Amino acid sequence: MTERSAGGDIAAHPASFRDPAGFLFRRDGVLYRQVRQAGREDYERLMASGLYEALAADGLLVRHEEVSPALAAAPDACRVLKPERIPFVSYPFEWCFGQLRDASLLTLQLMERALDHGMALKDASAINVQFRGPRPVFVDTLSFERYREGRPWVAYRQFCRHFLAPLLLVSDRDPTLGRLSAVFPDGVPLRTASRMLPAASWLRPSRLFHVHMHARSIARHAEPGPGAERARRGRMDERALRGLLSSLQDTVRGLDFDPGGTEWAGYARDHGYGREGLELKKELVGRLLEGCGPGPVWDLGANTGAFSRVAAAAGRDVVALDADPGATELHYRALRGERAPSGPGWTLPLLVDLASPTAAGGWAGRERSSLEDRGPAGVLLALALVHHLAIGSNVPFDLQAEWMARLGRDLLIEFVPREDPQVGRLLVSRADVFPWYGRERFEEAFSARFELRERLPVGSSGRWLYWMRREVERG
Amino acid sequence: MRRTSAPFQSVGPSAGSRRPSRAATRSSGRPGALGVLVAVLVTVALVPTPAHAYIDPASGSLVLQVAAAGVLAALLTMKRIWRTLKGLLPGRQRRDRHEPD
Repeated sequence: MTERSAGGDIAAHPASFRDPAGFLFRRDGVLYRQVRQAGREDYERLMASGLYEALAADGLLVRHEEVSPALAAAPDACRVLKPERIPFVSYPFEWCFGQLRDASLLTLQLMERALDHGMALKDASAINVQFRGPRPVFVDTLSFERYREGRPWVAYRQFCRHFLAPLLLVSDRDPTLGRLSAVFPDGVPLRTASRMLPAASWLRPSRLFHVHMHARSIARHAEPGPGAERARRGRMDERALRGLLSSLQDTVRGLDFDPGGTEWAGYARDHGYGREGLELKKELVGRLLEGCGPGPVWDLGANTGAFSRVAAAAGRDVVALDADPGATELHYRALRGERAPSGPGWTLPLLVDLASPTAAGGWAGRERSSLEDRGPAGVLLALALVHHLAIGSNVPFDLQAEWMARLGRDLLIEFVPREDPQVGRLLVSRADVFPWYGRERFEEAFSARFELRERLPVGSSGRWLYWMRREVERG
Repeated sequence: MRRTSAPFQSVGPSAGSRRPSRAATRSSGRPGALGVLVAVLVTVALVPTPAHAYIDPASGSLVLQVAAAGVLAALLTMKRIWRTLKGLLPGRQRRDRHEPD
């Protein structure tokens, strides 16, 4: 979808085509937002009412500058905006419980504050929220419209599908169910959520109303008829609308998830090589990072972020990826609780299964980018990871090396020997079909893709830490 | 109009003990739930509103909100009264540890 014009390369953003009020595009690699004539009135109201400035000042809405309309990508532009850059785009199914919870509270807060200024949110898609480090920020400047007295909230169903349903399923049912949003890009259907929630949820007024009754009301009025007519004519005053928002807020605030019970959340305390080993490993990683090239660090298998913190302290931006909802939750909560960040950059924990990393998806398979397409990383940290991929997921060393070579340039990778108790844990209940699992084969496979820069033993643990650099630049 | 009585989450200490939002600090010199109900019924009868949105709001979602409007408004009023009363008492205001700031 790239076309050449007098002003350079213009590429429509593959996920920005639904809202008639405007769309995102890139010109020469820079992201812009075009406001169409259809969105003019609401955009001008957002700016003139003081709502934009109030929200931007509080860090709740992304800032933008108005640039020359000559930069427009299509003829019916009334404004062209250049939004502040979001350093790393993430998707709601990659967020831990706390991230989704904070994003939902941000959305409700924005709707309330919009009402204070005579405006409302016309959509409540979770993708309108992005994270700058651990702070959620609303990124869709064109989601605000004039509030029409008497109208119910048009985005109520979308809010419940995108936020409330997955939050309730994690809180009331199982932590892994946050990943359901990957299957349902427009949010978990309320009927599905209603059927999956425990029977006791029928006795909780918030779940009864926002999920169970909501799902049934949607089903009952799905066909054209008196219900649709009633919906078209139905009115509720502003106080009732604020009552709805307040109820949603109370419901979301009342949800919690105990991250202690998941598989790896206890790993940092129980990794088998003691506090001294951990401190030594941190020191080695910090030292090796100094020699690495620029760019963000991707911490693969970050757990609760012990080594992400080392990278942050070294001044790096960090994307911390882990498949465990509990570990990611603990990492996120720790970052939220920090008074001062450990470095000048940002750290973004995300829930990603490295044995099946996020694929591209959405309309035409291009609306959402794969993990790889959001790279490359400057440095990959792969600490205590290879044995999980090799033995836990049966991925041979050469495939691991090939994948990592596509993700980043510098690689700090740890080899965990067969004798290590952590490897023993992985083999406890299965046949050892990994005769190839050893340091020699590991080095051989990675040397085919990377140039070995340095190799250090991690104390007396039998583990080795390698600094490697990709040999051939990605063409 | 058929009314759905929605027993909402009651206003307990956890709901009322956080920092009041801007909305909550506004004065509540507006008609109560009954007044709202009457006003809604009157306006429903008088003014048709075209529902135009670029996302599908789902008829059933709008119907549910309108049906519960009176209860939602009444509950909000009760919460505000509760918060005002709590505000008069000496004590602390706990901040939600997960809250975006």
